[in-house]
Amino acid sequence: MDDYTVSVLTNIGLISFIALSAYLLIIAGEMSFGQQGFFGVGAYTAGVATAMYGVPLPIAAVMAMGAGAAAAFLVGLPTLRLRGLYFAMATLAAAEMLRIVFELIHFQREIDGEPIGPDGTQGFRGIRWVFENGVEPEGFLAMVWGLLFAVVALFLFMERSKLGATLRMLGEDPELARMLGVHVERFKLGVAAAAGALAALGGALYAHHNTYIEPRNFDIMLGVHSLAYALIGGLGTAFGPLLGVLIDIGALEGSRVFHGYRMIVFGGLVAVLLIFRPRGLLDERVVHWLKRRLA
Amino acid sequence: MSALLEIRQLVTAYGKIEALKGVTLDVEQGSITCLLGPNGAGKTTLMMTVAGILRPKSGSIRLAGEEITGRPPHAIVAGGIALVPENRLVFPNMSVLENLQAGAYQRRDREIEADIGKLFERFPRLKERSGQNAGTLSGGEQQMLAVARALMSRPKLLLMDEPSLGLAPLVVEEIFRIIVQLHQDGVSIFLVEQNAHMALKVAQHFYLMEQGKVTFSGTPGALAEDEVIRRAYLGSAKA
Amino acid sequence: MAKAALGLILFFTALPLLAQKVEGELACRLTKTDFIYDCMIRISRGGLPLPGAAVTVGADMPSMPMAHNVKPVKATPGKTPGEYAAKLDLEMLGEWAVKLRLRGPVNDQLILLYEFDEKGAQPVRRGDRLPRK
Repeated sequence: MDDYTVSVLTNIGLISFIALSAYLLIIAGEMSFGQQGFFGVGAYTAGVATAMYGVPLPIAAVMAMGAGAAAAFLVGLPTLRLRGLYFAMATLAAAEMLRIVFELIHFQREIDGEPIGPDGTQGFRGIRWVFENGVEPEGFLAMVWGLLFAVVALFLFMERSKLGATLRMLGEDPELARMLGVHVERFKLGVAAAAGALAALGGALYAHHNTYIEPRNFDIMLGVHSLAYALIGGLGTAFGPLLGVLIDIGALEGSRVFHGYRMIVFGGLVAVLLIFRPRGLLDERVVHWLKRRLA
Repeated sequence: MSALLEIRQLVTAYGKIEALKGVTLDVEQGSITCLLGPNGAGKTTLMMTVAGILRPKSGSIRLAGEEITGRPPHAIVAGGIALVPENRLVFPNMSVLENLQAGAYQRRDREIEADIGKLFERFPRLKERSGQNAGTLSGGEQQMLAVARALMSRPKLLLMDEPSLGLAPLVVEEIFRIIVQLHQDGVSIFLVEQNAHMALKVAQHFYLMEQGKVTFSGTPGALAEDEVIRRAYLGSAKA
Repeated sequence: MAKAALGLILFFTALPLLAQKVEGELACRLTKTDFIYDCMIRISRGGLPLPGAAVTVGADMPSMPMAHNVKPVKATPGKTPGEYAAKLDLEMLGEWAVKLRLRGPVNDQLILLYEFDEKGAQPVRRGDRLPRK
């Protein structure tokens, strides 16, 4: 595999984490425009841990997930009371607030004679754990995809379990779910925290892949794309968001056919799909049909 | 012996407007009790309050002697009340089977599969469609599924809010056959209906509700059917 | 006193590490074709030119860098040691985070922020939202 293939595959893997995070909330019935904020929380947390305090990446990633879950929980407390469009707006506002917080953080330590750490809009350089520990790009790719497969396996397991069924009940009709005995508010907070942790894990890996992060990495573009990936790919299975990422980054970006006009093609694709397949390519009907064929 | 469900002086308000103005009624163990009344009388509000979706302002609700007033919905379901809501029957993008499993949300026992088997025997049409998305079922089938799903929680009391709403006459008859069958199997049913004619055929006791108050209580036959129908649809003359 | 001595010792032990710091800078010129830039990259280690590295040059847009990037190209060594030449095919004008992947004498990655315009490229100097204390 050449460098470029490795980097495209790594990018697909990284962005799948936040796409899955958006997907998790959508199937629970909430459209969040703010998952990029938790992706950023993960990136900054893990970056600070490895680059400034010498924490190994695996531990830093767990810390990032904790921070992402905590941030998502706190954002969820007031916003999950809101419905539909209001929830979407509130999550977007929360993510933008987080981004501005990143712009305001100047927290550096002298390491080997060099100031290391978040420096506001100047970004955060030198998150070099991967290089210092001799992890080759292929090795990092394997790490990203290994974790991603673990997450997808967890999703598939969950979807077959009662937990997954409850998520779908919430997503389809929270009031009916409440009548059947689901503790709706508590459940949604748990889902929001899990989605935050998942986005943060992606962010932690991204920071170490790129070695440099800055607040603008975590703006609305990332949030909108992660939602779009889940919606294009389909809401019937956890493979949906992966398919969405694959279509955008793998096919559109990777092929370079549309060059600078790719965003227009992508926007058109989203619009067309939302009209003809409002729940994505791999929607529930397709998944039920596939299950019957395979059974 | 006290009734299975005892409602005393129940008041539920939306803001300052009281939809229930002190409702008192009983549902006896093993009976079909029917609540009739015109639109806006507060029938659905009463159902939602009993199910815990709405919190009453005052009054009391007791299930089998136990005070359940103001408990959250999940505690009410755990207490043994299942609601078949009006207009909100099924999870459309979930399969029939998944809808049934959803009804057993709070159960942890091992007999869930066996119960689904029994319900499929009772409702063979649902069995044929078990893998299909519930949204693709006909109105009558969806009502059937909603009833079956409510039974999955093994309730002491089944609340049914307008089960005949929007269904063709033949389908309505089928739904009422199911209600009678459930009654024969020993299920206690509290039924809200606008179809007074059908409801009076199956109920052992009925209440008339107008403008947030119970205005009549009796057995079918205690009031001439045309009188019941007139008041159930139009409200009493003085209203 | 002991503190100062400790500080000095730490400083001198850190010196070789300081000298190892790899830095890069960029000089670009827009070619006749839109958004294709001829770039000269200077790479130094501890202030001295670093020849003999295998350099791959890519570029990310700061907003959504995972999805918006250009295909990386291999740079060729220039006439002067520590200099490398590469043609960058960007999708549009504006700010890009140029990513230099270094192999050979060093295994490292540098991210350089440059603003690309109709002539060439300038390093980005960003102001803070609030004045720093």
